[in-house]
Amino acid sequence: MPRHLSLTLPVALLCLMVAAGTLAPTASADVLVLKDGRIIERDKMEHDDKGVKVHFENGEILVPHDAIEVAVLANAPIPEGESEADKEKRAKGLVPYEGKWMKPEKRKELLDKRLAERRAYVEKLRHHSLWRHRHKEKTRHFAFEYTVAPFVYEYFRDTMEAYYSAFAKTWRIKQPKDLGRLRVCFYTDKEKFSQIGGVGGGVLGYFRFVKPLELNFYYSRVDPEQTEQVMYHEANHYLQLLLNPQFIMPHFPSEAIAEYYGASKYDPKTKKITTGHILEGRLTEVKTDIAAGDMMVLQKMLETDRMYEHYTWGWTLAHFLMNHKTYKKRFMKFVKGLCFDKKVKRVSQVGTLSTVEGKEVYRYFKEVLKLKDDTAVKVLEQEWHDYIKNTLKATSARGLELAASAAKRVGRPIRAKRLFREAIEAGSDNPLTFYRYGDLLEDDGKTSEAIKMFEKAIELSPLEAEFYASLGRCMLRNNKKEDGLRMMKLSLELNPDDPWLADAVERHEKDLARGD
Amino acid sequence: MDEKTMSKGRLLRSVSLCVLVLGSLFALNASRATAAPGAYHEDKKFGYKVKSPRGWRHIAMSQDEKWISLKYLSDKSSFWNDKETGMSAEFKPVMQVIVFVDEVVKKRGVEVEDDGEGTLWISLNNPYKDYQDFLKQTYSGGGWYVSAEDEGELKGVKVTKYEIKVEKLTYTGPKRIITWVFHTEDVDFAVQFEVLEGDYKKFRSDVYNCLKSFRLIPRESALTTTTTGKGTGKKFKPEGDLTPAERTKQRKEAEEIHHRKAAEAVTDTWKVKRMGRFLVLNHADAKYAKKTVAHAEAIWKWLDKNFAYIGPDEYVRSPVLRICADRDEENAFRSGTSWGSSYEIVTHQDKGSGSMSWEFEYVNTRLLDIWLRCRNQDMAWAMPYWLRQGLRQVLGTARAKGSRLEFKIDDWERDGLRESARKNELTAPKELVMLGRDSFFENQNRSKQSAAFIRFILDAKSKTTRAILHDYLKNLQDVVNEREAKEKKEREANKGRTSAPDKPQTEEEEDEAFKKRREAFEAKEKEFLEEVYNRTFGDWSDKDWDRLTKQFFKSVS
Repeated sequence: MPRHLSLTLPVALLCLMVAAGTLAPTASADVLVLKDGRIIERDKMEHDDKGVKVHFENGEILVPHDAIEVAVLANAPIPEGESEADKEKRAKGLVPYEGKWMKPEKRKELLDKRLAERRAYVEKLRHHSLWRHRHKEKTRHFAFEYTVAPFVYEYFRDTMEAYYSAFAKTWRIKQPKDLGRLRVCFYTDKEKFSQIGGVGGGVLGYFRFVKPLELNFYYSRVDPEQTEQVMYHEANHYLQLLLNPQFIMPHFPSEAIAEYYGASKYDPKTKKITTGHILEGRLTEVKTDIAAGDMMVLQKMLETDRMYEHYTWGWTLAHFLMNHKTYKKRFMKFVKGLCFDKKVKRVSQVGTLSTVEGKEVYRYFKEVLKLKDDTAVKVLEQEWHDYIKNTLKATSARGLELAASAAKRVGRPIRAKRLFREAIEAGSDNPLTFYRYGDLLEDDGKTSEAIKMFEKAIELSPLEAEFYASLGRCMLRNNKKEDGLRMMKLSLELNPDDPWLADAVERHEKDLARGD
Repeated sequence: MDEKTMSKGRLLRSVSLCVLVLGSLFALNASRATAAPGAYHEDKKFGYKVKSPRGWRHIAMSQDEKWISLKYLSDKSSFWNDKETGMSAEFKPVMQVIVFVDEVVKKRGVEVEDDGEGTLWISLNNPYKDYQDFLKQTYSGGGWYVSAEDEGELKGVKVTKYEIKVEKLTYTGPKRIITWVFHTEDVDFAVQFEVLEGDYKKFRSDVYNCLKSFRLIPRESALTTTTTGKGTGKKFKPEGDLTPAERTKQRKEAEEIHHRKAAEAVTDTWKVKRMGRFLVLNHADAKYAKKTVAHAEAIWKWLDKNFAYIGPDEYVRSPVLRICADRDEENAFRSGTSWGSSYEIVTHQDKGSGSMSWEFEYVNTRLLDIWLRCRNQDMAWAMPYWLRQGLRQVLGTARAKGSRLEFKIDDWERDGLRESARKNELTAPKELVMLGRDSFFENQNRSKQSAAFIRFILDAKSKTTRAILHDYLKNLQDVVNEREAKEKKEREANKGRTSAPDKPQTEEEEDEAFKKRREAFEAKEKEFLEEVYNRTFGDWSDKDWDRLTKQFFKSVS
């Protein structure tokens, strides 16, 4: 994944993307287009050596150069020349512009032209961010419709084609002519995905398995890696359907395989994809279950028609089997056999489609995996459990971050702090890691350490309202009252729609006025 | 939602018991006259009039509706068929006017109010920002996007014209929404029509004629904005803090307000009448209302008589029974932005379904919930699943016959029992009464078996068997009350204590605590069930259980 895509986006910042409320920019507002596709508009922005300073009433925020795709600043200052030659030219009344010296009128003319071009570009981006003006492009296997910025989309387009090729080669599938290309709808953010895609809050993406077949997902700026994983996962349901378009793969192994292929990695240089990596988020969930003493029973998992654990424990089973010399072949035979084997008892599903019920899945699994009796099942189960405990390990910064966040979520703060520390030591540059670690330190009353973490989070992602709110709160606790209140107000400028924050600011303002 | 409710596809709205987070600030329903179809509907409170298509029906709003000022439903159905899935759906085009009062929209934020009696009321005012925000938060008919947007003017009033397409994951078919938002000095009026995409051409001229008919008219009085809890309603104390006598007083007061507001909010085509212990708002025929009330009254009487020992000093609030003319009217009524009242039962005249109509069953089960909640809320919440699901099914399918209650078995229950017997999956009573939440629903026929078990107990010849239900309920109530008293005592003792409970200091201790926490719910549930079981069946031998099981299985096979 390209570095620029790992930049985070505060959801709160959505309010800056449109001319609305108190942040409404004037017609001549400066504009930043970030590499994650966001468009930021403010009345005053200023170039700096390290980036562009965005001015707010309660402070200024520096957006670093490497996060900016395009900057449209109406009053960009003329850089000052340092050398003697520069000074000489300046004395003649010339000014520099993109490495050349010219008359101020010429510079203004070029600058105006450049600004007009960039404004047009920004307008185009904005225009296409509406679903009614969405981009459409057909590739070899897919018909894409998208509202994300083209420079964000291109990476995912290439990835999808590479993914298709890799899966098709392993599982020997072809796109039937009568189905045509798969329609893929790619949205700018979760809110738009939920609204236009017609799904509830918890859904990250979906594949519509009846005609018209369709894949829907969104770009998560907070977690672009998740976007990729969701895309792989949902696209895999389509690829599974291509095994036999008249068959709906049962929840297990469908979700387990989709998760297995969800852990794929694309190399934009070689345009190749590698599959079957460690899905560290899922592994964390499984390890949490194990820590709580919940070991999954193989029979229960295979016999149950639908269960959440098909995503977590199911993935570990698919990973174990696909990485085993003997079992891999048998597992693939089992999956294909569910679609084609005449000995498998199928039941009808939606329309003309058929599927297999849990009990039959288990029976057929035992048959193909050559598990003759309960003892053989238990032996395989033990091998699988051992594989999870001994072979599947989260070691990357990403894995440690996910494990830490999961520990924090389920109320294991001591473990979470250790894992966050290890993630940071492993080189994490994820602002959420610093933010969440800071949160835990604040809970322990270690406000000075927490402040450092929040400041680091802000340095990595300078437009996140919540980071400023936490920093402000912590500063207030640390007796830095004025700075704390200012940070909270800055947070409110970034997210004026948060009534709880507005209330907190109001209360702290009153406290400060009273001298409390 | 129980499995039966799910299977019948009924959309039930959950009702919040404690109103701490409130949406908007404006109660819309003033008493208003119904316009004749095709004629102007006038709203003098907000100062507008608009025509509805000829023949469309005016739909009543909930007394708590704060945003939708007007709703009309088409008299004709449209149909959508999906060739791929074989699914088909019926849809009735709908027109509504949504009102965005500037002063209300601006009032976002947190309100904290101390009532001076120890209760701090925190309210979040989170009104819809505008029409699109309203749609985002309330529309549930499928994925939608604005397909066209235009600015214009009508008779000097600025208008934003939206065309919206509903295309993805729409289970009632692709639709088109046409909305004109009229911007006035202090209010935005969104006049919205929703039709099936396939029928859009058919309705187009009607839709645009009505949109163009929108006019501003003088208001009867100045618009006032009322903040939540200040003037619109009274705040009541948490019932747990009151004595039975105080609770009765408070419930009667709340009941009076609820009845008054509900009666005020209906249009003049509705009949408002006190029938038995219900306030009935009726839009169906009088005979049907009488029948519905008769069934519910019989249930109420049966509960009073048979479960007299449950919360004997508690007052059961008189519910509002709203009977819509048909399902469409009920659906349209429910599709507003109000959560409704937990003491209001909304149903419709289910023509042609006879005495076993699901609507009677729904009214009966809602009444059972209200009765149990009023008599002993803690016990109602703590009821094991076999008892809760079983009673709902038994009383849901019971019907009034003369002055008494007749218990009936419906096909849903009968088929499920047959299937269980055939598959040899009947659960023995000893196991049934000990099932926790997760294990109860592992078998999809458990609710049916629970109902059959309760019927078996109620009809039993043996005195001992007949006593099971009452003994169990009495013991359940005792256990719940004792635990509540103990917890209250602990809460009192801990009041003012600032030191936190012992926290794990190491990762190992934390792991151990985590493991215990994960097991805690099931362990607590098991312990509770065991306590009630031991008090009720403590002296039962295996032989007693075998005999009961044998008789019960015989009764259902």
